Amino acid sequence: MSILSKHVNGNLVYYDDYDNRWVDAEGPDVRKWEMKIGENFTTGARYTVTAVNTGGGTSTIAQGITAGIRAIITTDDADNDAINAQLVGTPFQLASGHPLYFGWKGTINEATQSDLLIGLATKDTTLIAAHALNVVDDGVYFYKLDNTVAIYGASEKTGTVGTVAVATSMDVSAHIYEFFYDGVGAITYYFDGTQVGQITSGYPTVVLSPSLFFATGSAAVKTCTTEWMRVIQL
Amino acid sequence: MGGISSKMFQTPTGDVLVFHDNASEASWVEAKGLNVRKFEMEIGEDFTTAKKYTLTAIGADTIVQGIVAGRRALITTAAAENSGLNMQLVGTPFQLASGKKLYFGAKLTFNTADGNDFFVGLASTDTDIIVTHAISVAASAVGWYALSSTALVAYNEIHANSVTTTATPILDTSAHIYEFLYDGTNLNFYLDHALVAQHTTYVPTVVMAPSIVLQSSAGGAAETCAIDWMRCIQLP
Repeated sequence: MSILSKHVNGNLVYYDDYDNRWVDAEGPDVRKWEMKIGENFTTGARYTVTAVNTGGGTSTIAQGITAGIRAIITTDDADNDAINAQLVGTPFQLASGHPLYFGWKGTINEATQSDLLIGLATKDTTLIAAHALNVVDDGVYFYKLDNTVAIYGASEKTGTVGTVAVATSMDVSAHIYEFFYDGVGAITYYFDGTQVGQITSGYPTVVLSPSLFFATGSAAVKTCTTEWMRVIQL
Repeated sequence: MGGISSKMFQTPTGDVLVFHDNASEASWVEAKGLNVRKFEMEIGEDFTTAKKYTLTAIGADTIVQGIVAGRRALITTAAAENSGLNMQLVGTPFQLASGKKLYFGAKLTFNTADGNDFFVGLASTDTDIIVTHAISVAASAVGWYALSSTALVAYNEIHANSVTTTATPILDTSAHIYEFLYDGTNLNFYLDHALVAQHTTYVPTVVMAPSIVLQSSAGGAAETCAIDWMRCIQLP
């Protein structure tokens, strides 16, 4: 757990633990985004937030209250109630010669009866619908669906999804989900720093937005917390 | 792109580590230090609530977050002569002061070479930096402009007293990098990392805000300006 630095494509990249866990980068044209502490989730100026509320309350995403947590999603209390949040704009795009890192550290409080998607996706207000993947076009992401604890890394191009399975089952502990596009032709997925698979074809080339979806899979309130979420592209 | 390097500056309040583009030591990218002042337009920027930027639109002019990957913002004017957008960061966090180096830079792309009026740089608070194809700064400014022509002008002004230098090459529809570095005494202007001019007089001393203006020229077409990045860094 120490920060090291290296030059990649002439840019200075800070990384932690292993080469592809990027923490920050400096360069004239580096594109980077990180969910902030004290983030604005309410005005629509930073995030497009779509809440699904069929229960008796309201699904919300709010700034972290517990130290170290940047956002907490709290669903309403009916099956499929959810929050779909995307950064405004579509600032990232996989392109030859431009490696890209995505990482998310988070926790869900229900391992089985829940849906989760985190990563990059085209503009979409229902990334998961009725416990099924529903990304309208393209994306690179991790997901888990209701009634299972299986976690997948995925790459989707015009509706065709390729997946790699994470060996570890979902639980209610904090985990780190990361993928790294090498700028050549491979997307490598990591779970808690361990490589879980690689996809070398069928990945998107359209513009994408950092995205987060969480839904309850039962008639009960569920929560999803984000400790950090960042994207860095050279 | 030549990558990035760093160098240490000694300041009265301690050392500051400055990262710069290898293409030019004057093209600052980032700085680390206790009293560094820095601003950079973000990915996912808030252009709608007026909490970060003061936006003054003349007509149906807009600025939105980048849609094309790598672009942080896109300004689009209405299709009417002189319609456009005047945007300033809220507050006036920067002030040229003797001995305190300051960098400003922006990478911009316009959809026409001579169909617009634009200004980018630092200016005192002002909702109409350009009026009818002419600079109309109320107090002070320093930056780059073009006024309905392909002539790119490096400029600084104190209350209508200004210094200008016309750059070569002229404006076109490719992306270009507009920068200036205040070295603690003089203003040095760079276009695509090449030194264009050094201005030694009428260097503003009042507080200023990062600013950008785009207006449609006499043709009255809808004009666009894409902002890849825009940043300002000042050392203590």
